[in-house]
Amino acid sequence: MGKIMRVNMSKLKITTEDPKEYQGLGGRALSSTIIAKEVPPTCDPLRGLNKLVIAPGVLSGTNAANSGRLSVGCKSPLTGGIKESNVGGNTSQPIARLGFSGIVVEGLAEQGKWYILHLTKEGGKLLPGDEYRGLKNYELAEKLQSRFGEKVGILSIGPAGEMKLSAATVASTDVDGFPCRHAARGGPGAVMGSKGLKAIVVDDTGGPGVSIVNPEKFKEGAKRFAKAVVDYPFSGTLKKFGTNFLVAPINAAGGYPTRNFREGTFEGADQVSGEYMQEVIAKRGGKPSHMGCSTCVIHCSKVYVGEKGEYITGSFEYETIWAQGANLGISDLDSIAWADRLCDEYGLDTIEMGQALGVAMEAGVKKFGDAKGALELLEEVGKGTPLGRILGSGAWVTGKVFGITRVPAVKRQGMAAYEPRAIHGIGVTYATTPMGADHTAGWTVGRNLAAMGGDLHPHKADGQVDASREAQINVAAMDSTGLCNFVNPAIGDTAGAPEAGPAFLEMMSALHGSPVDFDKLKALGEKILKLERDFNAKAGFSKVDDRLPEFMKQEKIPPHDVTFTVPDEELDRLFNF
Amino acid sequence: MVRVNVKLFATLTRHFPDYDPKKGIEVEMNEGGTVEDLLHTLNLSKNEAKNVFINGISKKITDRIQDRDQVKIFTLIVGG
Repeated sequence: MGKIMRVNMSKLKITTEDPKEYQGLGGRALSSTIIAKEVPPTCDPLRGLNKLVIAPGVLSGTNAANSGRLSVGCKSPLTGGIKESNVGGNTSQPIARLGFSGIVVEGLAEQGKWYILHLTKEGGKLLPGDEYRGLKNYELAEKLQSRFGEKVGILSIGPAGEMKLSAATVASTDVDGFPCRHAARGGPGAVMGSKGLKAIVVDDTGGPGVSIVNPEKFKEGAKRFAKAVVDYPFSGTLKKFGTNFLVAPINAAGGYPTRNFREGTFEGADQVSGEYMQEVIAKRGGKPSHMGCSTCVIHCSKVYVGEKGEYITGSFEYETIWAQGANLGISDLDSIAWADRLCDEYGLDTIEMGQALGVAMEAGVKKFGDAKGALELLEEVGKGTPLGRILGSGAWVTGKVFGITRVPAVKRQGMAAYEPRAIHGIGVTYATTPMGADHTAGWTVGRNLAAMGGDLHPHKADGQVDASREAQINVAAMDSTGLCNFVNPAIGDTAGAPEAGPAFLEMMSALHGSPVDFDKLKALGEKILKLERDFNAKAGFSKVDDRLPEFMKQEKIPPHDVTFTVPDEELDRLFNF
Repeated sequence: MVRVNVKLFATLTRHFPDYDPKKGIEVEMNEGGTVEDLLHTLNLSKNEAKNVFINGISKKITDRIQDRDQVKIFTLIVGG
């Protein structure tokens, strides 16, 4: 178990401590526990009482496969509730290897002053950062790499974070050093910006590493685990087509939200699918399969290039391609890639921005399908014009400003690329998770669609609340391990990957030096969810916040012509555990 | 006999070297056949072909195939 570093931006002081109460916690378990314990739930997210917690998962920093996930926690300026936003890349591992379980950024720097936090084996140092003010993420990363070394990991904010916009992200560099991976949801970049922290540079050279109680056992478990993940067929699908392989099946199910959730199938799906993208990348000489995050053995990442082979963007994912594509009626993959790049440059959540632009198009600011217009709107955000700042505040604010009621958001956070009327299970998660509409908080899509062996009807309420509860508890625990979401299917598939689950438990047990089983993990997941929910209750949330927007209960979505039919009292049962 | 059009996605196309994603594959099978029979006809393993949609609805392995059905077959669907 590593130490906790506290970075006080008001006093410009750094201290290190070893608090017993946070022993053994990592990732979301640590970030949410610290926020719940130390941040007043009613505080203003952009003032000094809020904290930004950066916590590698417990397996991060070891050689366990796919263990590079970092949790970024705070009170969210977007939702007003607790937030943990999760990111891969190359920053989680080195923070852990420097011997830290968490970095807690507190207070506010003097207004107008900017700082860089430099983490090395000597500890942390706050350096003046005024010279980096206003820089976009790519140029910033380049400058910091040339100053501090090519191999450093960098967490940073772009102009959106400096402007404290609610859709602002904390960017993480990927394995190649590009700032294309983001702790994006819920505005953690705005909190980092409010504190005057422009970037965190991590250099783990000579760091002590992560202490493992039984290193031999760990090594054995890690080896078995990596093999089980690599051999799992789903890993092969991800490697070949990336997360964007989902376009075809979700579109086929009528669950691919199109033109601001007016329709459930997109006529341009073939031009934005994983299969098509794969062809384009291969033809142009991009990287069709690529390691985006440290220790990854799956390689779902893609590097997307232009017609002349020039780099446009990395980490070009299903959610982004949908948000900036089908949700806006746009099927030009190059233009969507540029939208992703702009969001990465400014430090904006691609999902929230897709929603905000969708709502703006609904209002007639631009027409659906106007690819050039969409990029212009994103540029407005980067420039900080009044329109840009409205959009950068997310879909809900944009809806208010333009008088639009078809705003697909819960707790003021925009939904992801699964239509909740066509896939009820994900609707239950959107409605009830403490995070606001978040697909990663309890991914029940498979159980709604995999009819072979699956058990739930996607247009019916039966069983959906129980399925979502189970998924939410499970993911809360897994978000604490530092493992990527995409190893979960193997861990859960006792028939298809019988080695994965036991190998995972073997690693966890060897790490802590005491037996870890799925019951213990379930108990951890329940504890995290409850404390997050409790924070939200104290922040003023009640059951009326656990609802989908009204239009989804009233307007039928084609092609299945269905509304969301899970009764309110069913949703209220979710937290009965 | 019933005739159906089958489209394959992700890694499933590797079993059909000449597969054309625009046309898919035309399959003829006996009346009363099920999803399982269709997979058998195509020589696809149940472990790989995890998700079958017919006319936009996710189907069970025991469901029957009708004439002119539009069938889409996917691998395991897991996401995030």
